[in-house]
Amino acid sequence: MKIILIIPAYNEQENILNTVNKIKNSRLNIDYIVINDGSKDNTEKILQENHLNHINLINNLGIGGAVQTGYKYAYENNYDIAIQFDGDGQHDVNYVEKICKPIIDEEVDMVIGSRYLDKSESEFQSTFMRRFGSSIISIFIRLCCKKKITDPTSGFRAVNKKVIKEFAKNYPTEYPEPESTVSLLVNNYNIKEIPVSMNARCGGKSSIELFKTVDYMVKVIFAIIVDSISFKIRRKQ
Amino acid sequence: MPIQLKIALLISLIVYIFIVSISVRHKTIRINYLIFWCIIGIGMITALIIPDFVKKISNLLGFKAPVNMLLVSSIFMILFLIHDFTRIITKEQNKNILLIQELSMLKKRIEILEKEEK
Repeated sequence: MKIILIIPAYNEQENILNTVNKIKNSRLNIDYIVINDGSKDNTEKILQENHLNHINLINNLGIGGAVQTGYKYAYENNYDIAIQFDGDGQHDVNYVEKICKPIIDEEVDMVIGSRYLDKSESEFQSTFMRRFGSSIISIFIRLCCKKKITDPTSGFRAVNKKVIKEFAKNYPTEYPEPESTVSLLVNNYNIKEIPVSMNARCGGKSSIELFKTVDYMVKVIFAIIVDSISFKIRRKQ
Repeated sequence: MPIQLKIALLISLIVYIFIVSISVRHKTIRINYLIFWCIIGIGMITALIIPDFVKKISNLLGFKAPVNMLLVSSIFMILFLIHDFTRIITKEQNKNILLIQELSMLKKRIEILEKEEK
């Protein structure tokens, strides 16, 4: 079974080499692709000097556009499972097997690694505001799609071949994690969450800053409502 | 219509036609967008030549003064235009994302092929 890790990276000169080395040093037989999202720092130089498998986006597209490029790469190269994996060292490579298992067993179409499903599993639970934001988004997903997703903003997720094809064609680029979850739920794909541990960022700057949390939350909720309605209408048509 | 207002309208109409004609000459406006600006121009000419026409229509629609009708119709036209621009910008953004992705992936494929050739 061909498995690939999609690693979006924007200004990750401090973390990217470490993240890829951890993947290489693990006993997992998986490929990886780093999507350098038009970084302004030395990320590109590091990727080239160390001969890491990567695609350089000629301009910054944001996390959604970068991840979709990864799905396109996975689709073109006929991968069976694609796993989104942050380039900032937040995600633990030891959970890759666990996150893939329900897909290998053909149990579900997408698996989300959740920080909040089992609190003892993850030491890093992020800030109160983000946890609060996540729970509000989660409530709205439950209202619109009738499915409980405890960590809708988690970027650690694995998908099967069917979803790779879907995401290669259509992937929300504005608020990718919650919106893509809603699009799959509305289209009757099966999603499962498994508890994972995440680390605090090793270095660099998070793309979602604290003061933006509320703004992000409001826009995401609006996007969830609009998406769930429009996807339902499109499905009926 | 007072003569001062007629002169002001005439001057703005000349400036308007001049600006639109520059855009047409330099092809900075596509034909389908030009239609909107031409309709505005025709409306301005009509108001200048037959001022009673505007008055009659505003009376017919129940406006107390023609200026109210002009203001309301201008606001709606601007809203329509902004909506259309938002739609066009979104479409262009999606095209940009697709182009950047495809071009970046092509560059990657060329790099691989060049390495294989060496």
